[in-house]
Parts: sequence; structure tokens; C-alpha cells
Amino acid sequence: MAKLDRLGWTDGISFVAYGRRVGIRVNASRMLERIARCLPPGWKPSSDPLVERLYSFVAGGAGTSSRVRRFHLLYSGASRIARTLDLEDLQQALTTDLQLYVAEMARRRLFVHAGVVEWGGEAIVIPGRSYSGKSSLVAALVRAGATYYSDEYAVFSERGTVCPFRIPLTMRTGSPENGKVRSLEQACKTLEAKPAPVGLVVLTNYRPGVKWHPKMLSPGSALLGILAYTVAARTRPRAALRVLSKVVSQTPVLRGERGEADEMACQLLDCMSQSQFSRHGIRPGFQGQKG
Amino acid sequence: MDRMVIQELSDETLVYDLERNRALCLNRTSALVWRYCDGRTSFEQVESVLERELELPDGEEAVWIALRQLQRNHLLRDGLNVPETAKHYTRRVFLTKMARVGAAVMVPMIISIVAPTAAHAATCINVPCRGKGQGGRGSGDGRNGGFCPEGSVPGQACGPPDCTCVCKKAGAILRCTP
Repeated sequence: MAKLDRLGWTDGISFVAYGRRVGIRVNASRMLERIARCLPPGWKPSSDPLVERLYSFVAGGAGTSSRVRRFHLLYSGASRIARTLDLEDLQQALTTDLQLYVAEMARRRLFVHAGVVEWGGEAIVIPGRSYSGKSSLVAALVRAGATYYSDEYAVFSERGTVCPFRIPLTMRTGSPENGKVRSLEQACKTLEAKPAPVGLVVLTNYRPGVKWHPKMLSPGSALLGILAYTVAARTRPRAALRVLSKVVSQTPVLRGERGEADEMACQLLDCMSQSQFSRHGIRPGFQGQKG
Repeated sequence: MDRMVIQELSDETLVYDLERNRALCLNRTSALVWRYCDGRTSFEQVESVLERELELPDGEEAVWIALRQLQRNHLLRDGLNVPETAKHYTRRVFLTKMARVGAAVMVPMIISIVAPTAAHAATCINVPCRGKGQGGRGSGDGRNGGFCPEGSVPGQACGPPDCTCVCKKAGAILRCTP
């Protein structure tokens, strides 16, 4: 760390996000504008020089000789977490590491890897990892008129409500092996970001040609299902169980494979509108079964 | 119970094993048996409780099935001596027997998951695997620079089919490395 401290740092930023103080220092002031795009939603600048996590963003680029190119480097504390010739990749590495840190260590919030939209005052939460199709489903729900909250994290408060975590909606194209990403312009309603009670949790993944026939999970099974995507499951299990038990005690949780996102989005919103879900059964008109 | 976090739901009990980082869900029957595994309650008393609370014609089988599950999931402090007569009790046989006498009961059941690490629970970043020489960081699904998927062995491939990354030991963790 001492070696790193001796490098020439020209500028930096200190901020608070979800109760955690983070600092980022750079060796070239022009990098600050790029870094501002990497900060997590809801960040606030801080004047406190003491931080809990310090990133060092080293912009490389051309050296003194035209044949020499220096790598761009990113450190978290004394650990190097990225080394690349592509500045965009370094930014992405910073974004992801920052989000992961905040998600794991946030005070008074529980982060679950999930897509979230709001409809009629209630949130639909879609937990899932990469390549499960949750971003596609979130995009389809937004196209159908739901309000975008997040396609990355469901941020639960201590009371079990869910808060927006608005970062640009991104979707992968092609196969997982291809791994290409494209940013999708998404139409957000410009509403004040406020927590919403959870109206429905959907544990699903995409399989072509499948019709959605979900089962309703018991509260205990539902909690385990959501815990599998909870970032702080190991670091704060007490808080995780406490918050998630509030969610599953008052919200139906469905599990099942789904087909095309647009079709499923219409089904979900239709059912939410008609309040067809209840904790003890699903009314006719909805292809589901209690499990 | 210091190594456990317990959360009661209406009919189920959630247990988080802090030593093994496992989360378990006990249904009503299993939870009831576990509650009385307190070192003071006899087997016959537990049997009576189950017969009374769950309206079981015979609680012995349910108690043994529950106890074996509890032991398998490290929820009993002491070892369990299962008598020969009880070793053949299974959930399926129990359920069939109860169905024959018209008793609607909840078969003792415990489901569990391994709690994910932070990286495993979160998304992979949008940096595709590039094989050799590139940076980037993944998390949990084998992208180069990230943590190797669960069950990985050092030296094995850890990325998608067109990725040349392999699992390498970096201190105490396994990283997916070009």
C-alpha cells in the first residue's frame, strides 16, 4: 500500500453510499468525469477524508515512446482488481466492484440480485443471476407500462419495502459464450424514487418454448429461494433472515420456468392489476398451482 | 445454539448454520421435533406431542424420520442411536401409511441451500472472457479474473466453452485466470 501511496495522485473523490464511505483517487484529473459515471445510485459527496474503502484508478495510455503502452490499473486498497488496455473495461470493473461492495456492506439495506419494477404502487421482484433472462423480463415489463426500479439489485429496507436502484438497463445479446452487451434506452417515468411494498416475487428463468405454470412456494421455501441471491447472505445472515421473513410473510412468491418475456410480462401485470394472487391460492384464469 | 440464527415463520422454522454457511427450512413437523430436542424431553414425550399437535395415529415413525434428518443436517448436538427397527423408516413409506388410514399429515422435511458468497450472489460483469492477457473481473460464473464456480478444481477450465481461462489458487480462494 505504501508503494501505491507514493504514486502521483492528482485528484480524488470521497462519497457516501448506503452508509459506507468510499474514496477514489486518480493519477489524472480528467478521469474524474469517467469515474462519476461509475458511482452507485444515491451516492452523496462527502468531505470526510477518512474512508472505509479506497480505490486507486491508474490511467495508463501511451508512454514516452510511441511503441510503449501502459496498462490501466485499478486497486481496491492494496489489491489489484483490474489490469487492462481498455479504459472502458477499467470503468466497468470499478462500477461492478463498487456496486458489490455497497451491496454487501450497506447499512440498513439488504441487497438481493434481482430485477424490480413497480406497478400500481407495488413492486414485482425477479431474483436471478446472469443469463437467467431477468433483464429481458424487466425490459418487457417496462415496455408494458411498469415503472423501472432496477435490473441489478432489489434493495430492501428493514421493513421489507423495496427501493429503486436505477442504473441503465443492460441486456446481453447472443449466447452466454458470446457475452456481448448492449445498453438499452429504457423509458423511465420520472417519478420521485420511493420505496414500494412488494406485491409479487417471481423466481424464474427463461427456456424457449416453455409455458409459464408457476408454483406458489411456502414462506420458508420462498425465503431460501430469495436468500440464494442475497449478496450479504453470509456476512449478515441475521439481517437477511429478518428482512426476508417480512417479505415472504406478506407476499406471494412464485417459481417456474417461463417462455417469451413479453407474453409473461402481460400475464404478470394483468394478474397484479386484478389482484388475483393471494397467499392461499390462485384464482381461475391464471395458469398456476400451489406447491 | 451460538452457531445458529433462527427465524420463526408461521408454520416453518428457518435456521442459518453459521459454521457451515447453510440455510435450512424445517417444516412444521421437523420444527416441532427439533424444538423438543432439548436434552430434557424423552422420546415418548416427543411422540405424544406429535400425535397431539399433528393428530397422528402413531408418532414414532415421524419422530425417527425427523431425528435422522436433523442429524444429517447437523442440527443435533449429540449423536443419534437409531434402533434397527427404525432404520427402515422412510418418508415415502410413512406418507403411504398415513394416506391409507386417511390421515393428512406433514411428512418431516428439511430443505437447505448453501448460502452464496457476495460474489456468487451478484452478477457477472459485462466483460466477456478474453482468454489470455486481458483484465476484467467476473464473479462466480467463471469469467476471467473472477471467482471460480463452486465445485471447481485448480487447473480445470472455469469459463464458457470459448474461454481459455483455468482455475488457479490465489491464497485461500480460487480465481478464474487467463
